[in-house]
Amino acid sequence: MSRTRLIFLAITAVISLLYVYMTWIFSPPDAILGENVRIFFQHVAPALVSYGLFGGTLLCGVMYLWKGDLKYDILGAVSIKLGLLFTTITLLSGMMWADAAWGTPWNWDPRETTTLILWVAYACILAYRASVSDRESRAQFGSIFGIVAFPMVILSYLSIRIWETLHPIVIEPSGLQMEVEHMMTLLVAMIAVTFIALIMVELTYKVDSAQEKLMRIKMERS
Amino acid sequence: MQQVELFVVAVILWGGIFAFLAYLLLRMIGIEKQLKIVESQVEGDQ
Repeated sequence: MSRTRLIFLAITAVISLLYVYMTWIFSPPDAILGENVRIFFQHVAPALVSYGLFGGTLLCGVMYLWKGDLKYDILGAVSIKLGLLFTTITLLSGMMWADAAWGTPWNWDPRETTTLILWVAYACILAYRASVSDRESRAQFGSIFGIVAFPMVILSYLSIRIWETLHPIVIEPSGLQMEVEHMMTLLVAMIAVTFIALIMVELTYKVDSAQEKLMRIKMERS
Repeated sequence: MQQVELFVVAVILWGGIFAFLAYLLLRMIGIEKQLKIVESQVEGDQ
């Protein structure tokens, strides 16, 4: 393992521990939500990271169609897999929060609904990729679908501004509408989850590239 | 929900993430070893 990678892993471990400390000890209970405010830090950070990952899919799709290099296709597929993982965490933590704040885990709120549609859209792309055996069409159509699905991310983000919603609007043009301690905790949560996601992207990319290479060698030999 | 209940849920959630990270790391080590063996076999054939 290279020195840079070790340093990055050490920084991620320290920030993750800080994230745990700030979420459970440093952060005070909210005046309205009480202890349930702690769900907020498990909810917002994965949500924003999943948007970033789907943005990565869009970029990789464009790069693949432009350059035709398979590494972009593999990276795009990795971003979808991990984006789905973080969206699942967002949906689950969101359901917990909704249950605590509004009395029911699912309200068909615009943000909930658009995030669910987003999850289904990217899951369909993964299902499509798994069902096509021709490598080139899988990469081409997979990239196109990855690009076409991205407006759903924007719609999910903007849904609370477009439609009437129960979901609180925390990020305003004037700044974050929350207490300073909560703001600091959210910042640390964002950094920790982003770093964890980056490590996951690298590991998954390496596994998928090696698997692809192995399959190619096996096919050439047979 | 009480803080302890929330903490237990968070441990399950993030425990899952870290277990997945560990699985990815082990898988990467395994597949890279396998790739090296296959590549040396290909070189041997040539």
